[in-house]
Amino acid sequence: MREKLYVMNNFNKLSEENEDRFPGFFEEKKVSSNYYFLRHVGNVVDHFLGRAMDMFISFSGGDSAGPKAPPDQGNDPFEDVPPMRH
Amino acid sequence: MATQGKTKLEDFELVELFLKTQRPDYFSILYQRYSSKVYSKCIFMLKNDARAKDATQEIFTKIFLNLAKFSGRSKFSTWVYSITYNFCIDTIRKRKKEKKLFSEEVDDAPDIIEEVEDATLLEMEVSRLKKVLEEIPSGDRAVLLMKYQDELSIREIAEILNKTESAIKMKIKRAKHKAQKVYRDIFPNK
Repeated sequence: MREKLYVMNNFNKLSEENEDRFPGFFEEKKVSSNYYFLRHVGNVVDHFLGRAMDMFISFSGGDSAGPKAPPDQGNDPFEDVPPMRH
Repeated sequence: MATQGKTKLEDFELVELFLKTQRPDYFSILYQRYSSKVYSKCIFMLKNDARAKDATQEIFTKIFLNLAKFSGRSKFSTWVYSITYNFCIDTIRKRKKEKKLFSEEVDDAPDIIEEVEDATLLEMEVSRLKKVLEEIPSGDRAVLLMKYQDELSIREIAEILNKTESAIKMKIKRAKHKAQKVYRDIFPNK
């Protein structure tokens, strides 16, 4: 629930004084250029991330390139590990 | 005409439209609504015009990057102020390397303190109120601004500062007390 509104509030007058000093247009242009910069970075990442992932998969023996991992021989990878006893 | 229609939209509608369309004019309207308010809070908190301008830029970049995380559970203004206060508090901590931002941590404050009437602060002459706010610890300043300027509820302040409601009530009480003490120290004959 909202707190009560005050009849006289000089905090607001102080705030208005500060707000009047704000050079809006200049600052907005900077934020706007930040926005486009970040959007551009996002697009670049989007574009290259897929390719980078493809290369990573290829290098680590995936489908698209290089020697494939040998087929499964049916060996139990844990055959040398003794069973746990409680 | 189209711009006029857009400016009548509620904050949450603008957020939704921006996220859906990625058109910067929706974000621009939000910026126009809140940039001066954010700047005003930064000036109060950081006490330096250049730092406040830089902080405003960084805060809006944060808002932009995190807009998708705005859940609509609170008002958009509360969410924006939350980012603003937390950013300023972090900046002060880093710059001054100070961990103690509230008067209860700075002073050896007594457990029981007198309750200061809201009117004592709200009706304080503007230039004196400004001076008092500059002199009190940053954390005290933040809670007083949230309560009296942004008129946030105790619950909202607690969420912003990640504290319990009872802790916030105590912080506000101590901050008011500190402000009154500072006022009496600076203006002893009033």
